[in-house]
Amino acid sequence: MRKLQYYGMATFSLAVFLLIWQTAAFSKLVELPAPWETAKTFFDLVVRGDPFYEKTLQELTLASLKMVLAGCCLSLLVGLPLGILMGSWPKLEIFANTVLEMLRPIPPLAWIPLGYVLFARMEAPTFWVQLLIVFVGSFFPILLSTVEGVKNVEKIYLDVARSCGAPQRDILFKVRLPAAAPLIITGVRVGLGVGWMSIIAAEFVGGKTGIGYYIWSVYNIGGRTAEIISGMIAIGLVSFLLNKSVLFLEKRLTPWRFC
Amino acid sequence: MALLLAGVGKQFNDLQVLTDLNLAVEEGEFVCLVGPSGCGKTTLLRIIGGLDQPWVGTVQMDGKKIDPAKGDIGFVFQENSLFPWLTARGNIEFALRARGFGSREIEKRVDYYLELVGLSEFAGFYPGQLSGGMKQRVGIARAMAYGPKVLLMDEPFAALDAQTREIMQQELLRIWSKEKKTVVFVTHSIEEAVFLADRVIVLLGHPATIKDIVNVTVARPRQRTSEDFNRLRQKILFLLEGGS
Repeated sequence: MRKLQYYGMATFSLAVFLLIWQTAAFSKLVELPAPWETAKTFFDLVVRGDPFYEKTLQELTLASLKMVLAGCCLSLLVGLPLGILMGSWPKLEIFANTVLEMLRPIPPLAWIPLGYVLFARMEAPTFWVQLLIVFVGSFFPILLSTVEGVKNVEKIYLDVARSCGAPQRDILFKVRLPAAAPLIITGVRVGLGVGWMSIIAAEFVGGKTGIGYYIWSVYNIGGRTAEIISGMIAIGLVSFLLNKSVLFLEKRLTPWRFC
Repeated sequence: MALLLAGVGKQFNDLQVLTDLNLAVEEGEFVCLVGPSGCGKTTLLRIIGGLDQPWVGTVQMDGKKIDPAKGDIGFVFQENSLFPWLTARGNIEFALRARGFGSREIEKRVDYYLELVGLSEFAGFYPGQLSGGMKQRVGIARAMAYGPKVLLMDEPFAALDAQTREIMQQELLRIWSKEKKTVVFVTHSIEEAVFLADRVIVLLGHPATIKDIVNVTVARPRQRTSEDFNRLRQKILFLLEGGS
């Protein structure tokens, strides 16, 4: 009965949302395609793709997703070792934080113009700019959570390790790191989220790939709101799936927390 | 003399917590440290184990300075000291790996000590899946597995319910008589001290020092309800309340 109530309420909520949308579209107060029309466009884009771009919605989305994954891998590659070092070596933390804390408040998107200047001589500047933007967006959550996790290990675990004579290497890799794992995974989850938002915006500005580019380009043509909304739905779906995948990975990587 | 403390003292900033502690513990002896809470029992145990620094005086084992990095001591902590990310087996393995044992020897020892503490069937369980008593059993196995001469135990059963606690005390005595370790056991329970120890060391004062050492002459296995058992309880209680 509880479950039934839950699904009943969820369906009701969805129905109200669609009704508001439908009313807004029908009233012509705002320029909006009806839900049904949008759904049709969405499925068209999935099945047949957009003839002007010769790409399906999945293909467009996948291009953006690849950039995000590449950027986040880079963040992890740099952020994890640096975070471990900073978390276990206070002097380095102060040294690195002086600059990092200066850079951190700058939103990833603010790096776009400078990025194009920096990479102007590269063969594909847009690729490098997008990689930079995703990197900037995902790097800080990953770094900060790693530093915090490694630094703030419960004291008793360190006592245990010392009491049985564990060498520094073991204390770092077998105590501090696993103790920090849950926080690091959360950092990756947040990093992926920020990276995904950043890539969409970066694609609005330049380049000829990705779902962000598609939405912006379709907007510039004009009169294709259903395509814009379809793109937005795709973005939302990917966001949702990214989050779910990390949660799934979390269960694999830190099984002790789910037993 | 397995363990020798001479003139041991400890200061936290301006506060002197321990002063002029002298104690000799025989090999294979079971001594309990009792004293009011906050008197520095745990601090003394951590000093012996080399976990707390700095301090003054001498602590020696078999005439040498104690070094936890050499596996001199096994430390059993109050509660939740197991690494939650390792299984019962993994927790014991951690200590053995840290001490550089080979993989075959590790497996043999893990099996032996899991069996000794009666947890063979729970080898693959994470601490989160074990009861409080089971966790402390793993903690004891972990502290003993690499063969330290001295076992230092810091109120290991304080967080357990009364029944589990009594079972664990009996289990500890069984393990102790089998493994012949020197044990220094901190507790605030007089009953626990009298039940377990060969000698009870009474710590008292600000700064704390050894007020008295009580030989527990009650024959093992001890009955908590017996007359001489309770006479000793009374005696230690009297000492702790400041009598002499």
